[in-house]
Amino acid sequence: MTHCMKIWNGGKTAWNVYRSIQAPLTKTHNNFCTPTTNLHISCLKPAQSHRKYSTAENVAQDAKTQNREISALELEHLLEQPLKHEDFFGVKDLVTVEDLFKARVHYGHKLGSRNENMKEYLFGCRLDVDIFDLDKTIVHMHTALNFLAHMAFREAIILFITKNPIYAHKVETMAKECGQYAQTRFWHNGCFTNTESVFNTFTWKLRLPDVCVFLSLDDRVNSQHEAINEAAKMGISTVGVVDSNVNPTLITYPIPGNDDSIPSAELYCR
Amino acid sequence: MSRTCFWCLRSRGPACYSLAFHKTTPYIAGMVVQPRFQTGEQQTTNLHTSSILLRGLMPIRTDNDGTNLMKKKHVRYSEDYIQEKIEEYKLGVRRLAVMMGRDPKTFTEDDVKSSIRYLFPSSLTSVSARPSLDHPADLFPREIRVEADSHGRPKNYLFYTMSDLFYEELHFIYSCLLEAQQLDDRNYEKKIAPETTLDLKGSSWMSHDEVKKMFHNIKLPMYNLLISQLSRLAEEPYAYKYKNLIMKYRVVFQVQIAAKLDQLETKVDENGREYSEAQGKRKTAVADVRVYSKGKGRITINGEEFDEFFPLITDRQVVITPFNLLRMNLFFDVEANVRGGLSGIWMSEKGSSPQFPTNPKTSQAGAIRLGIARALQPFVGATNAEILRRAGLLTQDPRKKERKKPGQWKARKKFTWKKR
Repeated sequence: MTHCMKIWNGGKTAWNVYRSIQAPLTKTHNNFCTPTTNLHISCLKPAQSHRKYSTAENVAQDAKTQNREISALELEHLLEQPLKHEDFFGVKDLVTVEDLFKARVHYGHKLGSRNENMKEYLFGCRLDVDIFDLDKTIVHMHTALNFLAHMAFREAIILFITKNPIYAHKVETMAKECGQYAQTRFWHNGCFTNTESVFNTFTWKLRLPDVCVFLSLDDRVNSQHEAINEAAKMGISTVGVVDSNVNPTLITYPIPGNDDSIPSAELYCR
Repeated sequence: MSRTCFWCLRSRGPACYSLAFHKTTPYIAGMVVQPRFQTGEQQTTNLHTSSILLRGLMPIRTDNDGTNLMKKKHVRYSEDYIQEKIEEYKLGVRRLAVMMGRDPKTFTEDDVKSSIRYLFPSSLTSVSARPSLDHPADLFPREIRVEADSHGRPKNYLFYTMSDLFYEELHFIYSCLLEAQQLDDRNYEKKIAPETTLDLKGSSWMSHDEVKKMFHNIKLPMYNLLISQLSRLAEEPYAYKYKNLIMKYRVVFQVQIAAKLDQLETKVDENGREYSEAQGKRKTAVADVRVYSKGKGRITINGEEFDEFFPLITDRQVVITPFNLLRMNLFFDVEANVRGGLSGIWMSEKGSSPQFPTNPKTSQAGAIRLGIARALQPFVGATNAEILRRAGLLTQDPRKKERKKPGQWKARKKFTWKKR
């Protein structure tokens, strides 16, 4: 993260040229950044002028201040450009296999509680403990992070869900800092599928989350979190840390790895 | 149409038990049998009065007035609508007051209830079904104002938990707990002790209902969670830093002092010592007690020292009970004159030896105790006097020796019962 900080400071003057007012820096595309280090596109490649906006919203704001009409074509251009690039937000530099190893992400649960669907992600089993193949994990991680970055660029609502009390507090603080949402408490069935009666939305309309990020898929009871099913039913994309005792089939972007230990949780929050 | 079942008087009655009849005539819901005429013309149908048929054919009556609130339990009303209703309610209350011949300004909610009960007496068992004039804020649930920005993003980061304010508070409590623990760890290494401790005496945790008023719709498990988190925080040595947070959820007791408390005046004797006098009685013993305010804890009875006058330890314990309770044994001096207590006289020699002096004077001890407790009140303050009262030290023991009855040996002992 520190390298980003340095480049950011260098690229600041270039950035200031493009902005006329202090547009509020909505927490950037990448939610895995701490708030102080805004991993900005300009800090990676300041030369390219089309990468000057942190979010699509800032485009419109900027246009207003400069008193010019923003054409539909330009907006489209801005929104589609990132998609064409393989790693637009430089997500691959954020996590390495070594980081994962140090954070004990490769530890799974015991052999007895292994879910058959997780076999392909496992490297093997040692002393009755399942070990994840970190090479596969890193690929999944990069895909998921990239996806999240794009979603945040388009101002998605990201909901962080976990039921593990060990790091629930951390997740909440992280979500707050990012400007996103957290649900680490009791889950009311029907939150997504039955919003009318659960949220009492007879008179107003509710916007559901666009992405659900699960830091642990299982409930404290020996079952999976209800939100997985609900998100799948409502067409909400899910990103999830899948451990060896959990069924990954309903998750759009699974990240095979440990969900129980504190260092791994800290890594994900970072 | 000519065939009707004997029991249900219907040609098609599904609830009837005479299967013999109904089995042979199959029932189809909503079906109306129309007799066919030779002309092919349809006669106006003789509709069955069966409600089942009706339901299938006729539209269900709806409550268009909107007056049945039970049916509309799920509906939430806007602020403007509720305001309108409040105005109507106020007008209604004023009119009611005038009707009852009372001043509308001094007409309270209880008066409203009693006057409605008077005007519309109802013997219905269900209280909610009886006529009432309630404030609209109680009757109409307000619509939820969701705070969301222009793109529909909810303002609170815990919105999807359904009780965002409550869980924000829980989150804050947990953060405080973590902080307190870290502080404790740091200071323990540096060998610094905490400055003070948090004293939670004189208050207790708020009840479920009271917490419900603070946060909307808190269920019991959530309330229990809140209290357990707060208790855990309160256990920390550095919890005094979060006193405001903890006391927010505590209810302080008001010491309820009994209305009657004998207010004694303090007097000053020849030597300039302040004292107060009282009398105490028990059985037949009467004691006049003087308690001197600034003393060393000396007790003198009938000119004798305390230990000599009461050789029995239980008597001595009885006498100093008021001081023990308030832990003020060494602050007062006592001078007492006691007389009476019959049993004390003729039992004095019986059973006592120089090694084990018995000599019980329990009634006299009790009398002195009462006298002391009464005399202590002006020195000791209202709350301490309340403590004495609750311990039962200010009440005279009304028990007297029960009289002997004729036909019996003693008060209760009867002559030997003979069967024949």
